[in-house]
Formats: sequence, C-alpha cells, structure tokens
Amino acid sequence: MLAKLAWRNVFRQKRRTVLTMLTMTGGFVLSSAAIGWMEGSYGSIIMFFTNSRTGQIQVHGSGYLDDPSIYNTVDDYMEIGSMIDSVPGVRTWAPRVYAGGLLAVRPRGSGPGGIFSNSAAASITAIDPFMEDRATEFSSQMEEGELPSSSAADSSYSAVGNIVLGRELATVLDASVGDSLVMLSQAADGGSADRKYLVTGIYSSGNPDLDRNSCYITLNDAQLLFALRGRVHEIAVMTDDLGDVDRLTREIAALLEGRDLGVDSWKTFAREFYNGMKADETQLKITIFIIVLVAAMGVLNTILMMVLERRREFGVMKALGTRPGFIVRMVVLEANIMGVISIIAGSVISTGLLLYLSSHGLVLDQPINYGGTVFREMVATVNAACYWVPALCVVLTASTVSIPPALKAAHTSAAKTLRTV
Amino acid sequence: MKTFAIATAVLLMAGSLSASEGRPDIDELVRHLDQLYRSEDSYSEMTMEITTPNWSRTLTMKAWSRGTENTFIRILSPAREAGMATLRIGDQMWNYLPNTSSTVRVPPSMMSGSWMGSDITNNDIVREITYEEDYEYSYLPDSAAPEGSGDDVLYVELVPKRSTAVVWSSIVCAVRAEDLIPLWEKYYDSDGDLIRTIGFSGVEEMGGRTIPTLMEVVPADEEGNRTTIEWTYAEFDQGVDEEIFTLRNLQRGDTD
Repeated sequence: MLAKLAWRNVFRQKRRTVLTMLTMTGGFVLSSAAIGWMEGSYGSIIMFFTNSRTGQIQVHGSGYLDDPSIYNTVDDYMEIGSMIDSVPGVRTWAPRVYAGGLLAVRPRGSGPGGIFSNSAAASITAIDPFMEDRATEFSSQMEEGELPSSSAADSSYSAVGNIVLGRELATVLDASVGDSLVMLSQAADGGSADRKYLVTGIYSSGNPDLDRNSCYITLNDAQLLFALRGRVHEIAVMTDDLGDVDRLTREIAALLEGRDLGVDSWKTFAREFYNGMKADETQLKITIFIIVLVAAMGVLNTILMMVLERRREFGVMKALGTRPGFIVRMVVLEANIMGVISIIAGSVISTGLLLYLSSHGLVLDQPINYGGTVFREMVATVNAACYWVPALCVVLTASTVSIPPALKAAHTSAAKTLRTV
Repeated sequence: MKTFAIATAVLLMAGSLSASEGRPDIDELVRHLDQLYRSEDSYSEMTMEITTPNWSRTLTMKAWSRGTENTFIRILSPAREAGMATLRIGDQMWNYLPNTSSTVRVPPSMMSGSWMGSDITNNDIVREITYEEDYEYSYLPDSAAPEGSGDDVLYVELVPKRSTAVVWSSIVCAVRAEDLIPLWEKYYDSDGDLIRTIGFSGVEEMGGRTIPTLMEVVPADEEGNRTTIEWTYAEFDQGVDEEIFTLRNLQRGDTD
C-alpha cells in the first residue's frame, strides 16, 4: 500500500515531478560525464606516458628505485626477460642500462684538433634498438637521423660508437647529426669510461626537461664501456591493458621470487606522474561533490515545495489516523522513485554522451603537463564507475534531502491544517 | 691544486718551525703553513689507491706544479688510463683522453665531481687554499680538543671567510707540536657534521724535507670509500719546464 501510494503521488503533480527528476538527471549526467571524461583521459595519458617511455611494469635490482646505482644490476636479464614474456598479458619487454657522464663537443669551426669545450652532463640510457623500438616505438620519437645502431663500439673500447641526443641536449651542446662528441664517465669496475661517438640522430620524447639531459647508446656498447657484461639496470615490461597492471606486477613478482629483484608498477616508479594524477583525481571528486550538492539543493527545494503544497493532504491523513512514520516513509519513497527514474534516464543520456566523447577526443586549448609530458588531446571512456557512482549519489541524495521535508509532513497538525488550509 | 694543496701540505708541512715552549703564535703558525704549502715548483711521483665497497684500483702518476697557478698530472698505469692527463692553469682545467685522442675542458658544473674516480674532487685540484687570506683561524679551545689528546698535539680550527667558496664550514687540523707534522684534517659542514677526514702518515725524508708521504682521504658519507695517495718521489724548486703546462704537452699522451 505504501509503494502504491508513493507511486501514485509521484505522478499526481507532473510538472513538479518532472522538475525534480530533471535536477536529478542533470546531476547524474554531469557526474557521469565528469567521471568518464577524467577516467578516459587518465587512461590514455597513462598509456601514452608508459608506452612511450617507462613501460607499465619495471624490474630492477632490489632497492634500485630508492638508490639507483650503477652497481645494482639485473643479471641473467635475457632469461628473466623470457620468463616475463611467457606471462599472459605481457606484450613485450626491453632491457636498459643507465649511467651518467659528461658529453663534450668541439665548438663549430674549431677543426679536428680542437678542444671539446661545449659540454653538458647527461643521463645515458643504453638500449637494444630492436627491442626498445618494439616496446616503446622509439623510432617514432626520432626527429632527425636514426636510432642508435650496432657498431664496432659494441666489441671494441677504442671504436667510435653511435649516439642519439635529446633535442634540447643537442641544442645545449650545439651538436647536429653527423657531429662527433666525446663521452667521459666511469665504469662499474672503477675504470675510466670514455669513448668518441657519432651523433646518428636527434629525438624528442615530448618532455623537454627530460630531453635536455638525456641520450641513448646501444646496450652492447654500454655493457662493454661500463664493464656491465651480461647485466642491465632495468627491464621495462609492456602490457596491453592498464587494468591488468596490478595483477601482472604481482604475477611477475611471484615468478621472480627468490631472486634479489624488485618488481614495481608505474604507480611506484613514475611517482611524480602518478601523484599529479592523484591530485587531479581529488579535483574531480570536489567537482562531483559540487555537482551533487547543487542537485541536492534543487531536489530539497522541490520536495519541500511538494510537502508544503500537500499540507492539507497530510492533515487529512493524520486525521484519518495515519502514523507519522508512514508519512515519512512515503515521502522518502516518492523521492527515491523519482531518483530511480532519473538514474535510468540519466544512464541513457550519459551512455550516448560518453560514447561520443570516447570516439571524438577533444583537442585542448591549454595542453596539460604530467611529470613533464605534455598532452594535447583528451578522450572519455565508459566504465562501471560512470554509472554506479552517480547512481549512488542520486539515491543517497534523494533519501537524505527528503527526510527533513518528510519529517515536516509527518508532524503536520491535523486540526490546525484542516482549519487553515 | 687542493690535491696539491693537500699534497703540498703533506709534502711541506715539515718541521722547520720548531715548537717553542707552549703554543706557537697562531698567525705565525698559519703563515708558516701557508708558506709550507708553496714552492716555486715541484715534481713528484705517486701511487693512488682507491677503495670502494664495489671495487678497488691503483693508479700511478707523475705530477708537476709551478707556483699556485699551474698543475699537470699524467697517469702512468693501469693500461686503460695510461696517458690520461689533467692540466690546470689558474681556474681552468682540461683532461686529455688518449683512448679518443681528445682534450675535454672540464666545465664548472663538473668541478665538484670525482677526479679519476677517487674521493678527491676536481675542485680539490683546482682550488688553491690560502689559510691566512681565505680563512679565519684560531687554536681550538682545550675543552673542544678531541678526547684523549695530549699536549703534544696542536688543534687549529679554520673557518672559511664569506668570500671563500668551499662546501665545508670549518676544518679542524691536528698538528704534532713537536715538529709541526700534520696528523689529520677533519672537514665539517654547516650542521657540524663531518664531511671527510684526511689523515697523514709515513713521515720520511723526501726532496730534502721531512714529510708525511701517505695521505688518506676518507669521506664520511660514503661508507667503505677511501683514497690513499703515497708519494714515492718528490723534489722541490729544482726548476720545471714551462712547456709542461701547455695544451700541446697535455695532448702528447705519452707515459714516459
């Protein structure tokens, strides 16, 4: 009887009901769109960031992330790489060696005997060109020239190696493709690690800060130069689905248990980037809270109006012996009926909107920067959170804001109301 | 060269100034130390042993200096570094790399970096310290003297003046009172934490002077790291060819 009464009451005053449901539906759609938009953008940004540089999972020597040291290496990396490759969900992997050094170039016009006096400290990354390109499509970042390729430097200390420079580093050094440069560093055995290089390419990763001090050489060259034969500092693991990363991280860690290695997801090793995302997530929550608050005020207003308009009705009900609790439950149920209808309507509208936004990304007037990587386009996604979060908000809001008017209705004085209204 | 400020300190802090009854006048002592750091020119041969938790290695080298301006060091062994050389003229510094037949100017940003993987920095080599002009100095009060020390050791505290660009905030230098042979130097940061300790030992006659021929640098923040320099030969004020302190000589790359 309660449900029947509430259902009929909802449709007695259609204009008022439509107004309330419009407010609820609007709140649902806005919240749903905000979640889908941000989650979609996060997803594409994370995939772009991790696919182009870091990978979604990394394997290092234990403690390397806290204290990167040339001595802390992953031995038997080919065997470990093969083991990782066999885990379902892993797309590919790439080994890397990291070192620091001084790069120096002769000033233009100084001739072959000139002093290498244009210099800059650089972070050196050594890669297997084929595996790295397969993992990160590194060749797509090349602005000039080619990836660092195998050379005599892979097997000789005195041979000239191949190097590619970040765009900004090349500018600082005033170096171009075809120029010679000298690298001065220290090997893991304490010996000097110096070699002459030919600049074979210049790349841009989309992060100018990173490109200002980074360069790439081949893995074999670095392993010889830095006395790291058969060893690397990092194995970057690429996956197809961001949602699988936490599970795969656990699986790979279990697979490598017993070895003194650390397995981490992008949330750990790209902490700065992740924290930037989390900060934005907080903003999103605040935005949704404001949307819900505005919608709640609207709903409260319309339900309060409804209660005031129906004072006589409640007075009659009280006069006929209806208990206050019944009236409270009836008003709250009416609000929830409107809420459920709004959720259904909002879901239909949101699905259409999000599907559109997921296939038509928006180009941003003001590019956003996460951890130095600049993003210019954002797309939405459709997932469960786009529905259950706004739905929960609507139900909770409808239930909560209808209680005060319901209490007011329940406490209507029958005699007084029947006399005055 | 601070190495050679250090080195010269090691080489020259010999006991030409006899300790009188009680403490010598501090101005005289510091001036004396500064004078002892200097020589018109010097030539030395040394062995540098570098120890870290991950590796240890030994380099042999020859070094020439002239006044406070010029220093030249040539590595003789091991084979991988043989022929590498460092030239300093004033505050400019160059390294010659025989493997690539190239000369690289050491930029200011690398001055605090390690020299040849040791616990000595490029700055140590380039910077010339004058205790009298660049530091405020005083005897350490008896109450601040290290525990267990006796009357036979003098402790001098050196605090760099504002205009002196160094990374430490004070140096405590222990000198044997009997013959003013340095025992150790401790370098402290602004929080009073120890940065490094330089110990001197192996006192013997070399180049006509009685000097400690062993210097051990121990950084406080890198456990297990140690650099020991042992002088195997030294001569002073015997005349050094000006040609040694030239880029042309640097680029010869020989190990004679």
